[in-house]
Amino acid sequence: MTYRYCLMARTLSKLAPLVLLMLSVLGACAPVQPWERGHLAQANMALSADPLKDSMDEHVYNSKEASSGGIGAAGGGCGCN
Amino acid sequence: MKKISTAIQSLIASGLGLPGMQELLAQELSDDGINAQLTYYDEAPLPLSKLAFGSPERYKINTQQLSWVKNLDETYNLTVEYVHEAMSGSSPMYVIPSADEGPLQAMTGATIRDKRDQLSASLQWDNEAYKHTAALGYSIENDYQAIFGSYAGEKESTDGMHTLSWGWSFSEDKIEPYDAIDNGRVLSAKRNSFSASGGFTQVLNKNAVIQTGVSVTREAGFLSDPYKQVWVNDSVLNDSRPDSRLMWAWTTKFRQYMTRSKAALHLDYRYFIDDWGIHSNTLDASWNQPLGHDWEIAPSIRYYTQTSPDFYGPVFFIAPEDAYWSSDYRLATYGSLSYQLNTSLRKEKWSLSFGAEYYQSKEDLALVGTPQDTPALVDFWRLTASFTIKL
Repeated sequence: MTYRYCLMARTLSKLAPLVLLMLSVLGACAPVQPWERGHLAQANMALSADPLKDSMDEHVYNSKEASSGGIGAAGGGCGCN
Repeated sequence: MKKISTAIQSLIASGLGLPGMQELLAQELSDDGINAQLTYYDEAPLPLSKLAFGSPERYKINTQQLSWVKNLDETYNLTVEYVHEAMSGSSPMYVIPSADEGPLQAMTGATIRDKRDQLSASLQWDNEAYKHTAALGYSIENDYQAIFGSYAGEKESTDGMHTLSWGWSFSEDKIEPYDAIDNGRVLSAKRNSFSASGGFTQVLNKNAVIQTGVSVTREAGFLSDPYKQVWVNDSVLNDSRPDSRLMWAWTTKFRQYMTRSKAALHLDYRYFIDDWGIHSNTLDASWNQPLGHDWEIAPSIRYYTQTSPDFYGPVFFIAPEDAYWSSDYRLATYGSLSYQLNTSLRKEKWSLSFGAEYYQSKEDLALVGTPQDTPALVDFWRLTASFTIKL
């Protein structure tokens, strides 16, 4: 298990610069005025347009795949097999 | 609560889509209303050429979800959600080696029938520049109970260009397997999990927004599957996994509005890694196209690939020294493709949507890792219908 911790730490340390670079690029965006955000307010632009559907999607995928957490809360556990 | 523009409402609601905070998404800012969703899930039967014994018929699940949203006053918003699932079918137990036919899957014989009920409630409130959501829930099956809760917060910048979000969640689970004594299963066991996350949402320009975030989750307790077994050196033993697990996930979502077609392109990516040796990549792409007369259609495709943990194998000819082993197909190295088509009709006071999904998993769809024969990899169909009405 110690080997796995080292491998996980090495992988995360490689991803960290990419995340930081993304954040620094994002912070440099030109301002968009409130009256220019009409397109962003469209229903199909929402990060989660249908919460019940999204929660069902994650429930199905988390019960059939080895990955969990990330998108998907730690709640609503089940004996899904 | 102050009246705010629909643009900012959308962005704030979008910011609630934190990694790890999925349960809170039903609590995005909204009018009073009711949302109901029906789901039918149907797994393809196991091919007879891969069946050792038992029934090849796999799971069918009917789910009903109901969500009720009520603005209590200017500051507080309450959401209550109820879920009912009815499940039936046979389940994979363990894999048997066969020199002539490759590994064969042993399935349960009689059809399992079970149901699950879940009730949760969340309260959302704002405090000057901060927005908070707290949730609590309870899930129960005949052999499984879970209590879960979460908290999420966010703060929008003064220019409305970005939102910082954070949160945590927990779950306390208890399992009491069926027929434990007759089958040598654990009589009763507990497991718990705790998750923390942070995210950042940024308006890139007047047509694009991006969200990125990281979550960490720790699980501890009885993490094995009491209904799964493993063929180990000519003996059939209970599934045995480590009693702790640490998981990380990095998720990024991108939305791009197409001015000519008035469509929205969605691109979601997640990288996952844990201390069991599993890492996975998930890429989800959809095109959300308005059709006129308030109709919209959204085809999407999802690709998923994972590697197996150290203790996974279809069979073990030599018992691992650490006494951890599992042949659960959900831990195998494999990849999957999922094709979805969703259509919706949105009116001012109500909306209707329908969706269909076909999910296919195969060893040779794996991007990395060394796949092994996994006879129980599952394909399934899923149909959904949803109705929302504003009160």
